[in-house]
Amino acid sequence: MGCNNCPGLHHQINTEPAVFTIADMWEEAKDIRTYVFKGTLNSKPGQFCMLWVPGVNEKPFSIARDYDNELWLTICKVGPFTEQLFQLQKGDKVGIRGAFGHGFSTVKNKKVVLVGGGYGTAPLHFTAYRHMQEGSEVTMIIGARNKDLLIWEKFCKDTGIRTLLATNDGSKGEKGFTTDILLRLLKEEQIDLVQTCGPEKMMKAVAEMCLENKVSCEVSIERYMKCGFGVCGQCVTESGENMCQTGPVVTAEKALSYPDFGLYHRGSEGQKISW
Amino acid sequence: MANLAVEFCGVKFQNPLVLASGILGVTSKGLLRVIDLGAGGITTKSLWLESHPGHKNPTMFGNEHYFMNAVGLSDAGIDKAKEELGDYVKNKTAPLIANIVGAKKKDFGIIAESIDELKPDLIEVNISCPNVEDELGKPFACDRASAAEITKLVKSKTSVPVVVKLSPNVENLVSIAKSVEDAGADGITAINTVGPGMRWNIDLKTPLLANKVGGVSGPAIFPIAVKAVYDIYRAVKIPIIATGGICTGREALEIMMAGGTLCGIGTAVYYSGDKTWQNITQEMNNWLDEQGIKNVTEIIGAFHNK
Repeated sequence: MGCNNCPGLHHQINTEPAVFTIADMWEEAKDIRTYVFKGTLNSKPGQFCMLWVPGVNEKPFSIARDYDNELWLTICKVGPFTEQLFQLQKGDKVGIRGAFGHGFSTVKNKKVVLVGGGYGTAPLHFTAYRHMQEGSEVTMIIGARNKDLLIWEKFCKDTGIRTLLATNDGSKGEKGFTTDILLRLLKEEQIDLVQTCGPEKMMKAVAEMCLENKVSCEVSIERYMKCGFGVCGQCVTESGENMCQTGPVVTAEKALSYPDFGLYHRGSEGQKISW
Repeated sequence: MANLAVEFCGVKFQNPLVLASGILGVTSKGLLRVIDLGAGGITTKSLWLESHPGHKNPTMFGNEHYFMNAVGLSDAGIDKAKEELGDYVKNKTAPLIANIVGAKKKDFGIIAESIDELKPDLIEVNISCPNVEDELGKPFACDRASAAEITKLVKSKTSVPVVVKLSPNVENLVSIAKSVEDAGADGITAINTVGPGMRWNIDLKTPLLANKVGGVSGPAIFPIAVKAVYDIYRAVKIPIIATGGICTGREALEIMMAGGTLCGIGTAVYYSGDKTWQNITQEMNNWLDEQGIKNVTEIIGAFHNK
């Protein structure tokens, strides 16, 4: 692999999609489904891939698991594309490109807190697994509007991860927000690193909280990723950086320096859309 | 270090590399960052009168030989674009080339008049996109009379120098170049992407681009670009923005010697990312220094003196 004409090649050179067959699938929660494919993208936790349903569209998704020759994408039904995707059955074929972007750091022998909101919790399964492989102690704070929308609770239980739940309506875990729990942990415990993925307003609160308490923090910034490799410019933040390459995972300091972080993102035509 | 500055239609560029249209050009901040990375100027994505969603994904992919895209010119429309680009104009440290496109001929005049208020340094007229044919029919750049008519119309609506971007996908490129020069164009951009081309996935039996076909760019089209620039340079007196597969400093110098004054850089960003600009200017500098050439302007059209 490589291009003699083009020194300093900065990503994989062939970005044609690879074909994957749906090997298995199940519901994680209401309208949230995990698709299992055999194979690997050699990805790191927090990176993303482009999932192509031929004849429909292609969209970016975080990677829920990529080890032991199993690739998982955990996807929420939110619009026309995912509605079509949810029609697919075991044995159906899709195209996948990637993995792209920068993922979460993995640390050795540290205390890590992962904060997930709603289906944004998807990549934190893989992230927790990698930390545990490195001997780090993981606490997972998972939040959702109600108990039917929580994911990875069973995975956490099975792997012995300390799990703290929050629901807006109090139907499971604490009534309130993930940030209420995080703030308490930041005050009471020694934490080395916080990593978060979920609604941007939640992540902004997490980032601010961690900086105030002088704890390292990384956030996963979702923008309109169209090409995945830094050419189309759709996923640009107000720093001018493409989140498909600089991100999606950046430090809290960097995220908070973006004037748009927690406020708005841009749509398919580059128009601003409030969070 | 050689002097890489060039002048194009009276506009000064710190170096000949300009970001080609359709790459990275979504926001002012994104464009300003490209200047910080070392580009001499930037071209906006194609600006439409009204908002235009573009094609569904997949819209692009690449391999070591070439790149294909059918983005379909997505844009939020001229009013939003002016609002967005205002920030670039206020803070700019390098020239702005506003690229415009129209569904109908008369749209080009309306957009030109509107974008004139922003006072871009140049207006580039895109009459040559190969991947909106289903929507718009054959590009206007395929026909001498249409190309000239649009050039005249845009010229009549703005005092900003007008550059017309031509298609390589025609039999009579040189005569089309002449016709836009006769119609008053101040410069020519050559070439737009080649094709359209088509690729399929054999397992899925599905085209790789949602639009089925797309423009081909990247290393494979560089020889086509060099020939187009070479031929046009011999035929017209107006300056040329040479673009099409330029990835290295030596290639930039080659296409300038064929007749380009500026070099449009697009797909190279796929291969080299943020380093693209410095890699190319560094290699140009090294070669010019080795040759004892003080100003890059000395080499423009050098092949024609042979």
